Amino acid sequence: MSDYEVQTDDPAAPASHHHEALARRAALRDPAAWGEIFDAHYTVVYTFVRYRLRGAAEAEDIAAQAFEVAFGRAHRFDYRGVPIEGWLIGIARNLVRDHIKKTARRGYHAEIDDSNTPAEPDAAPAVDLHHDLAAAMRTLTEDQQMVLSLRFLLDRSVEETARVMGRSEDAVKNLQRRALAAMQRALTNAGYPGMDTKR
Amino acid sequence: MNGDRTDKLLSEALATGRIPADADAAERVEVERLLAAVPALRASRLAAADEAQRSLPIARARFERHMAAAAARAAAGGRHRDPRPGMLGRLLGAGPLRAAGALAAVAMVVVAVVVASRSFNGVETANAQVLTPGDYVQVQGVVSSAAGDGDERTIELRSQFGSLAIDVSTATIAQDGTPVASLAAGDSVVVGGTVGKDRKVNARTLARTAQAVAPPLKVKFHELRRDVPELAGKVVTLTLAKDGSHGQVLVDAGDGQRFIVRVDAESAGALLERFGAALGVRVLVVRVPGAPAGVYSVTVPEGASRPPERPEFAPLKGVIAGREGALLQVRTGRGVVPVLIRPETRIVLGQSGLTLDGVRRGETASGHTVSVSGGRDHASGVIVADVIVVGPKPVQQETGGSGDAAAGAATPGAPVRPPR
Repeated sequence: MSDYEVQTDDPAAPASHHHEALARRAALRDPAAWGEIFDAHYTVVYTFVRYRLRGAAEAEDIAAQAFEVAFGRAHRFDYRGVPIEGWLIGIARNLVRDHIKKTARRGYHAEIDDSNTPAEPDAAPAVDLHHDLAAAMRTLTEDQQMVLSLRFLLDRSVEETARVMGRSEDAVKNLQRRALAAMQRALTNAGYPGMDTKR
Repeated sequence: MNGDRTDKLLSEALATGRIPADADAAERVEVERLLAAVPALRASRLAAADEAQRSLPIARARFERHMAAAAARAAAGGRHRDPRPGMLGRLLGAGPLRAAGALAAVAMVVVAVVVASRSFNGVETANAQVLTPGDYVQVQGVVSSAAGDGDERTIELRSQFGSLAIDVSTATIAQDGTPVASLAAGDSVVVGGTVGKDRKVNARTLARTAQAVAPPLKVKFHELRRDVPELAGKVVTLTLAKDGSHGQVLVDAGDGQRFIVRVDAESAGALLERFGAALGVRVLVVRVPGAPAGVYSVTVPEGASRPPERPEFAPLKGVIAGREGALLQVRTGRGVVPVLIRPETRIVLGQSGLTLDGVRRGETASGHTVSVSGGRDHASGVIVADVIVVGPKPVQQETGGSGDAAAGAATPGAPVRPPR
């Protein structure tokens, strides 16, 4: 039975009804439905891409693009398959991949970009964390980045992560272990405090 | 060490917050090592979520525009486009019959990129070099956040310079009369104000615009190289120096090229004299023989007009009839209109033939034409001036006497001096 079929004894039935109705309206490109989807999932998509990109501006751009792409493909979305969030994350993953390839082809170039400067006055700790984590993420493989993003940045369960990544739960646990090991090494090399554990 | 065993211990540790009791010493060390990065990851989740919330209004406004544009295309008989980035992706998705044409298009894009890079006219600069404390600035942007209570607030404006902090207060004149306390994220506004010491802008005049023009996500502009003879484009931002000696315009030359250009005060004043809010006006920036190196004049091509969607900063044109304290009396076709001069009001003497020294010595500006850019205080009806551009005396009418005689209660001959 799919996630969106209603069971009379299913306590989540009202939520399922709503998701199904929302997905149907979204498929028809109802702006109000898409506004609701945007508000519900923008933070998730942004967080998912943030540390795979060079700064807040890129994250905002890619996250916004993900919704634009999704809107353009609304008629193709099958709500009986992958939940909307998983679909959006899949689109965002591809956009990030394309963006990284494009940036690598162009080569690094200096731009005036204030996007990494937070608005709060004492920004040093936040900027260091963003910077260190993003730099460490870039040393990981794409799959490792994805599993850490889903598991720890978006706090998804192993089961949910497996579904989004199209892998088994055991494969996700294995990947998670390797990714955490790689992240610990990268942060240790970067001098991030608290990383250097003795064996 | 057995990977499956470690996976199991790690999963349990993540779920319970404790390393399982049946882990031996070596396993414990390994799991601790794997867990070392988790606090940093979880802390960054909060930081990223906070960033996302701050960017959400802007991103939402962008998405709404995208949906509206898509709906308009659909209504016009077009199809919904998949806005995938990259022309190559679209090329590879095209059928073979269209491939040749697409390849030609790609080639043209490549050529255009090469040409654009060769026509690079400036050096990259930073927004901090453009805004000088004391400058008057006109800038447009979208409100990304608003902090503070009541009428004393600081808004974060996503503008052509990236994020700008703007202080609004009861002293800010809102063109439509609605309280500045109602400003909210997503509002598109034009602001005229003074740059403070920390490069915060103290908003003097504010107008909401219907069209939310999204500032670029990546703010990038260039300082115009001194050997470039002229530049055409649209005014994106304008500043006037505190001493009225010069101004700057940020010009959008198209194709993503933006240039900051230092201009003489006369031409900047003339621009404001004609348009009030200069944003969006098509201009031609030209080098003037004899002008200091790097200083241009901004001119308006024949037939140029202010874009209809841009607000008018209560422009007022007339003849100075006199002055009562901080109130300038301006005679217009509708009668005499009081204009309040504030300490931060910029006075540009333009083509008036007057000098600031002369004005300070008591030289009168009565009888001179004047153009005022500012806001109308809805409570009193007084125009509050951000910028005053004083022009020459108009040719005397045959039937008219001195303009002062028609000024009513104004004090003729009172010199124009900004309050200290």
